Amino acid sequence: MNVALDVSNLTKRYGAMAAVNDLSFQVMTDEILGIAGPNGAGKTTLFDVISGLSLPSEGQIVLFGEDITARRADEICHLGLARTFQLNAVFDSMTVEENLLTTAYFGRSHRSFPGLRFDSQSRTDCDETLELVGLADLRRRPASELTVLQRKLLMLAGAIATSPRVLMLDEPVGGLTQDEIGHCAKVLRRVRQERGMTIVLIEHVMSFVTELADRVLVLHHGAKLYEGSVDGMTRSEEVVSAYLGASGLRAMKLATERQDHGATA
Amino acid sequence: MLGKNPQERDYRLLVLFLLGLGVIAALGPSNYLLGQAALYLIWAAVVTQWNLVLGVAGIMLIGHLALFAAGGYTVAMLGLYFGLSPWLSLPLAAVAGFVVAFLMGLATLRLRGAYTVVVTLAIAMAMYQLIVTDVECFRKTATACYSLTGGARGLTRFGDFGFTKLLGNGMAQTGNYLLAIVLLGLCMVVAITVAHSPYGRAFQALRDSEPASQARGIRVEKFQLIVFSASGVLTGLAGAVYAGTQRTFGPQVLEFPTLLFLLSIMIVGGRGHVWGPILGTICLALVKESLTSFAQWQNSTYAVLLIVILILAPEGLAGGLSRLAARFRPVHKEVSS
Repeated sequence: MNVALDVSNLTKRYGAMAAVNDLSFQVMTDEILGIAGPNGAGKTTLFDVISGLSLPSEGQIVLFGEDITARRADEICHLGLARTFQLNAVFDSMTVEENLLTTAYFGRSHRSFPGLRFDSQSRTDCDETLELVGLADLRRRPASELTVLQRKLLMLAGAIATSPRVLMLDEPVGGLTQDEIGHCAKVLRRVRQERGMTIVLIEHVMSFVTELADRVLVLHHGAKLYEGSVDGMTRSEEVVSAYLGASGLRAMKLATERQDHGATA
Repeated sequence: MLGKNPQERDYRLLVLFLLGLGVIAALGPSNYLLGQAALYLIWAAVVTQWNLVLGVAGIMLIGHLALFAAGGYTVAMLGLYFGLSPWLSLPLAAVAGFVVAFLMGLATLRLRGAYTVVVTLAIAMAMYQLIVTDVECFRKTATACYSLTGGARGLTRFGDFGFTKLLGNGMAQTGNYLLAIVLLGLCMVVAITVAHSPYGRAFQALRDSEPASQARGIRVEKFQLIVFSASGVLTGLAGAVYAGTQRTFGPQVLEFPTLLFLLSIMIVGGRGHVWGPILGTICLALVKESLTSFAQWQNSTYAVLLIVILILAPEGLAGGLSRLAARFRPVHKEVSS
């Protein structure tokens, strides 16, 4: 298996505080890596640094063999890494369709001299993505009129429309109901199946992580607390004491048992 | 009736609007009215381009009239010193507008907000100062001495579009009016096209969310320079049409009252809205014409109007109208996804 994303000795300091502290990990091609950890563990900062929205203090980030440590966010997007945001960052003044046309047009490759019309490739990408996430019926709806779930799906679609090889999702199901979470999981599985994407996702909803992730990385104070299988995470005393707590552990075990039942049934 | 696609709807609306303006000319209004209307149409054309740069592309450009002056002075000086007809110098005026816009764009590309305001205003003010302090004798007549740029007095007698010859006696104002309609039409087509194009969407995305637009590969600096330069071409043309129809061009266009008047048109009409400049011009023209006997109150009235609009309806008339239209649109059915 190839390494999709290689992060080594990454540090991001704000003054004396290290939000990300000497962190190293790899993400393999077509893998889904879940990133968990308590609030303030540096998960979103890690995403900001990898996606080029802020520069790291130290360390190196390599995407499919290319050093992207000092690249700008727009260049990193064109190199095939797309991220979503914890807060709903969609283009509110546009319709669903315009959102995806715009991200498909500008996100796929660098545009030196944009045309006066969107090209047919962007239209195709837009239509396919709408189908993929199930927003095709709402294409003419202003983004500002969408429900929370629909906005989350639109943000996901916006990332997918840029044709990324690595998709980074920051709390894709935060604030959703159980049914909605199930719907998102279904969509993500379809995305992975049809597009073969490498996915890194931050999520507090542990049932979602255990259902999707192949591997889990747990952060604490900006450093790696645990890296490995989902099962191993519940057995790690450090993870349980720093993050899950006794009740979280119970909930997680319940969730994994339920999935096992589902798998055998 | 006007179609579902917003871009096509805007084009159709524009055709109807321009036809309406044409019908007015056919009704045979007075020459005074036609002359004033032509002037307002030119101002509307200038504001469409200013609005494109400031409202749509988000460059805090205040010295936009420098581009207008570049076009106007090109026509005036080429007419005066080389006997060139305004028709022939129109393309050169467009080039002049382009060059000034491009240089201004380069100078402000890396600046933000208030800094852009200061630099572009400074460029326009420097241009103004250079012109009004130009008193050196360049052209001598029997009775007087004129400077190269005409100084504070401006330039006159450089020729016009010759509509009296083309259309017949007494038709000069009609010709000017029709030319101004063509100019406004051209400027509106460009404004509508750009606003609905990938350029317009990129600027819109940046305004909606800067980090999200960057993360989707959008970087607008170069697009801003392209749109800025394109607006320079049309603003230069507008300056040329002004010079050729008013038969005079002076530094007054760079003075504060002109700036305030056009800024009021943009803000009252709705900054960033394609139809804002036209709505704003109609509104301001009505205010201005009803105040002709109180000329000393004009600037204060614009200023008060500007403040009231900024407080009560920051999106201007166009913003208010589109919100009103949205209220009457059929309510969306709630579709679960």
